[in-house]
Amino acid sequence: MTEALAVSVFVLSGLLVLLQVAIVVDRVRSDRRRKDIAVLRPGIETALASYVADPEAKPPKPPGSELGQLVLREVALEAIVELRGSEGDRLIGLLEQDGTIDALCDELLSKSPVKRRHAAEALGEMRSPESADDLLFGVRDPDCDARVACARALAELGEDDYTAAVVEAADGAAELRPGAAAGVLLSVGRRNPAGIGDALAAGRSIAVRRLAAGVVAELRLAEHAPLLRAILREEDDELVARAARGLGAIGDADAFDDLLALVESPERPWFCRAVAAGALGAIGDPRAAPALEALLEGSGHWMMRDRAAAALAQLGAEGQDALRRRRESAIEEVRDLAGVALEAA
Amino acid sequence: MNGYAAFVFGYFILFATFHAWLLVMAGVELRRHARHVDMANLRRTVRSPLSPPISVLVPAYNEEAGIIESVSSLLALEYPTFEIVVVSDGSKDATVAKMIEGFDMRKVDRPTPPFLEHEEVEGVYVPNGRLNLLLVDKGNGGKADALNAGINFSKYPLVCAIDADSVLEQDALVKTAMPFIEDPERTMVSGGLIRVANGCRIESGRVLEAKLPKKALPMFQVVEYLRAFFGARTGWSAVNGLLIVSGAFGVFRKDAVIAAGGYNTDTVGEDMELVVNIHQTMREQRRPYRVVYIPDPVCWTEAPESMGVLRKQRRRWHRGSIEALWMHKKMMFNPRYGVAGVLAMPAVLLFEIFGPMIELSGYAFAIFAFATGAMQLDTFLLFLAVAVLYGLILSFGSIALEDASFGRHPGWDQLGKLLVFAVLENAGYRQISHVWKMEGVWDLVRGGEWGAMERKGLGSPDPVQEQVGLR
Repeated sequence: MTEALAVSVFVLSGLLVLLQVAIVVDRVRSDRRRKDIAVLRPGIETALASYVADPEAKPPKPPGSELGQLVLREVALEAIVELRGSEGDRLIGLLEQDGTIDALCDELLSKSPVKRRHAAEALGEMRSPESADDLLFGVRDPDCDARVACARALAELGEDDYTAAVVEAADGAAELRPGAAAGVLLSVGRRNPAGIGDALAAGRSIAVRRLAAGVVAELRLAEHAPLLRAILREEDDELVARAARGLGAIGDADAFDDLLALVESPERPWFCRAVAAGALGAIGDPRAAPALEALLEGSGHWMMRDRAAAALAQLGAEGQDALRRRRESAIEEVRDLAGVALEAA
Repeated sequence: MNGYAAFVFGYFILFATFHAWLLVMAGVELRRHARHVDMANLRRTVRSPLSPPISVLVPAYNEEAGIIESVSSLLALEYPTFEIVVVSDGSKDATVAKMIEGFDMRKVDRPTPPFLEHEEVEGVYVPNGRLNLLLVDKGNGGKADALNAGINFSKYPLVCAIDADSVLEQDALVKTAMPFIEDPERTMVSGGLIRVANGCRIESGRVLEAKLPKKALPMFQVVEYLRAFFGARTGWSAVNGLLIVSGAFGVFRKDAVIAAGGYNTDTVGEDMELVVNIHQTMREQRRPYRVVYIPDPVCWTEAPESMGVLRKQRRRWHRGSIEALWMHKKMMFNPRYGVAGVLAMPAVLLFEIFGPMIELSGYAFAIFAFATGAMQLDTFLLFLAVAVLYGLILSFGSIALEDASFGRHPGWDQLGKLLVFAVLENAGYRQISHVWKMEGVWDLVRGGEWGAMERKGLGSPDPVQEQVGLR
């Protein structure tokens, strides 16, 4: 026992010493890096700001060191988010000229998937057309995160030619990386709205179609209302709910009958019917009042009642009359919700 | 006597091996996190319309002194869409009056949603202006009860539970929401780092200068928190075995909390009980899920500076852990409940609940054996050295992980202070903590309350549903 303890003490002491050395070495390294960045950064920021602000200014000399180039990249990424119009174009032009874009495109072929992903993300922020070919190659990357980052960067370029590849990549990632795939579709929706139709199409996975329906709702892409209306008759309840929400966000009056049918379908789960009620309220057609009043009174489910009451408040006089009738309901919950909705109206 | 010595030594080997594994998992997870999350991601999240809206729940009891400051700083959080729901839990002071006056609020008629039970609501208040703020004034029922009321009145699909005196960093919500954006269907819970605010310069609900505490007692707690968060919780998060997200700061999917029956008012460990309950509920519904810990977002909280208050806190925490395990004892060693049941809960039982008892008895045994001549001095000293050295490796390892990942103690003096206190911790603080934990066990045994039966939700028996469409 004593020998075992002695060996343990020896080993543990050695480990502890190694750990302390590792802490100190890492700290020295990070301190040095922090100091170097503190020296480099102000100069790079000033040079970039001066160049971007003055159309006559000559391009600044690119940093010689690897750290300098990393700092330049970081500063440029922060600036690009804020810059618009000619200043943003000047900055991207500078990055193309000084080789930053080329360097990032080279990193898309790096052995490290993390580096490939970071490079793609940076290219996505920079939106340089020079990176298109490399990104198009990158959407076939074996690493899912790198692939999705390339797809997003390509979507940010807004070219119709790339949409099929981008949507394909999003579809492939929708189960594993739903957030990232949603980000890709958001970029498609913003830069090339027509392209979202591909992601909504019946042949795509349910996962990507759900995400696409959500993006259509967020961006209110009215051109896809017919696709959303068709989705209301599908089996996947979550997809149907998102399509209903999208139609409400768009305010698609043509969807009235389908949304009404959804509200009145007892076989659909509560959240589908609640969202459809909300969509009818957003569309504002007073013909929905009887169905919504019936939902408020008879559904027995708080969320459905709450949405029905809120929707009635948006239907003008007919809706408010319905709410006043429900203030006389024998059910306390119905009376309360009708009262709240009337007050809000 | 040899038998007992062998038992203690064997326990120690098991403890050491297990925590070494957990530390390695923590290192892997921190590396993955550092590579995955960067400033670009955070900038996109803040700008993205796909970021899920969050209701921040603030349970408040007699908080008139600081409630305006706290809520004002929360209203300034950087996040696309969120609301603040303050729940006054039967405050006897001017908490409600201060809120009404400070934020120009008026009383409204608002029926109480039926999702979770709680004490009766006396009034609901909304601001006359455009602030995303709600005040719920209810009868006293405790923190868990107040949180349940907050959940009922919240309008968004994610809820963030914090303490009224918690100070969140401005980007804390963004960082904690990232897992829900990356994987909205599977992520149920996300917790962040709690740091000790003692010694920091805090003004208007913001930490202006982060410093280490001057006093010894909170310094020991800083080391403990680093070990708990970086050494343990990060590791458990990597294997989806995290059993606790701190009550001071955690984000939950509202429908998951409702499906689990909300916060349990019959335990003092309601934060741990809820997370364990969510594990159980998700497994029973056969739903893929994850409970994650994000080491980056920061919530600052005041640590006890007096032995009396710290003692009460530790007794309560230990008691709460035991209650949470007891309430979900059917999960223990049960493969149906995955890592949480097979690994995490037994580990908590063995190392957190029994550990203090075994460690203290080990010291007592060694002293007795040495005093009676059954153990030689060198064996005795070696035994103590092994115990201390191993504890130091865990502490130093956690400090190293934090320093390499985030470097939140940039000065060499701060790093040195942390390392020194990690050593000093073994000269009494650790041992007295174990004694307090034993007192927590005694409180439970003496109280005779072994927790209520498992709670069932009041809502429909539907499985947890996506609520994205209900935003």
